[in-house]
Amino acid sequence: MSEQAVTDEAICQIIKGVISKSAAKGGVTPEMNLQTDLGVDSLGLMSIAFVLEEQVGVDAFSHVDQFINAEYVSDIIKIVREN
Amino acid sequence: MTRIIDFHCHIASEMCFPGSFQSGVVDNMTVALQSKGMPVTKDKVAKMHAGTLRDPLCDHLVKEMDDAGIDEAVLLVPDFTYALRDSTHSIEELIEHHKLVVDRHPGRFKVFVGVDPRWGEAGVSLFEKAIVDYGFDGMKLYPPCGYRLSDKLLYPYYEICSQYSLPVLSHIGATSPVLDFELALPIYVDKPARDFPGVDFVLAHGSVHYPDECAMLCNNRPNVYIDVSGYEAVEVAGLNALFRRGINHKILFGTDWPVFRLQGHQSDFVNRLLEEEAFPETMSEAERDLFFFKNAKRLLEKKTSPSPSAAG
Repeated sequence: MSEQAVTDEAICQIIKGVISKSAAKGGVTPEMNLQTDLGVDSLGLMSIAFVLEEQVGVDAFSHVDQFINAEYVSDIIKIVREN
Repeated sequence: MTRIIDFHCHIASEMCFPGSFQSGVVDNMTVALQSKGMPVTKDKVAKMHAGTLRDPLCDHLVKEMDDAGIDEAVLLVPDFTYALRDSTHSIEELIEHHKLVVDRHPGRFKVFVGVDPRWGEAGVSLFEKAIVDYGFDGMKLYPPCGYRLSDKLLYPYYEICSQYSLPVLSHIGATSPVLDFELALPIYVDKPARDFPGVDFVLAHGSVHYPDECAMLCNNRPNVYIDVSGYEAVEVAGLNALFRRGINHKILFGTDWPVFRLQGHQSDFVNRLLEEEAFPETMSEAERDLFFFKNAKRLLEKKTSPSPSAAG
C-alpha cells in the first residue's frame, strides 16, 4: 500500500485489524476514542504504530509523542497524513 | 465535586529508571508483540517505550492532573541504584531532583523517598536528611531489589518513620524481570506492621497483585493499606470485588504514572472507574471520597516533622 493511496478508511481497517474482535465489532471510524471506544491498551497502540510503519511507511519514531498523545482514530489519521 | 489524591506516581524520566530495568520491561513487551505477529524488534519497542519518559520536571504530569481533577500526587522514589549498577544518577542526585520538582510545582506533590537498606548508616542519614531538611513525606520501598519488608536492616528507617508518623509504601508483586519477584510478597509486611503500630504501611498494586492476601492484611492489621495502581491493565471487575470486602477505609487511589501513558491520559483512568462500574451499588458516596481523597489525606496529615519553610 503506497502512502499516497492510503485512505481514512484504509487506516481505520488497519486499526480494526489490531484491536480485539469484540471492540472491532461495530467498525472503526475517525471520531472513535482509541481507549474508551476501541479498548486500545499500551501494546495495542504500539501495534498500531508498527503496523502503520510496515504497511504505510509511517516513521513511528519521528511521531512517538503524537502516538502517545493520540486520543481518537482521527489523531492516528493525522499522523499518517503528516508523515 | 470529587477531590482526588493520586497516591502512586513517578517522575517520567529515564534518570529514575536504570537502563537494565527498562530493558527488562521492553523484553516482555517485545515478546507479547512478536507473538502476535507484529513486525517489531526490541530496539523499536525500546524507542517507543522511552517516549513515555520525557517529562523530567513533571510539567506535563501537572497538566494531566489538572485535566483529570487530581489535586495532588505522591511521587515515589524507588532506589534502584544499589541493585542495578547501571543507574545514571546516584540516589542523592535523584532526591535532589525530586526536591527541585516539588519546589517547581508548589502544593501539587508529596514525595516518598526510598533508600536501599544495604547502603548502611550513610543511607539512613540520607533518608533522615530528605525527611527533616527537605520535608519529604514518607518512605518508598522496592523489595524486588533484594530485601524483604521484614528485613532488620529496614528497622532504623521504620524508626524514623515512626518518629515523624510517616507512611511506608512498598511495591508488591512482579516487576521488571531483571529483579527478584519472590521477595515482594505482601505477607512480609506483617512483622514490621506489628512491630511499628504507629507506621502506616501501603501495599502498592494490592488490587492486582496478591489481592486476597493484601485484603486479608488490610482487614486484620490496623496499619496496613492498599493502593490500586495497576488497575489500568486489567478489567475493573477486580476493583469492584475489592470494594465489597469491607476495607474501603483502607484503599487508596493511584495510577502508577507514567507506566500506562501509552494507554491513555490520567483523565481517562479516572473516568474509566466511573464509566465501567468499578464501584458496587453498595458503596456509598462517602466511601468513594475515602478512596479518592480522604484515606490518602488522613495518612499524609499524620506527619509531624515540620517542613523547612514551616520551620522558618
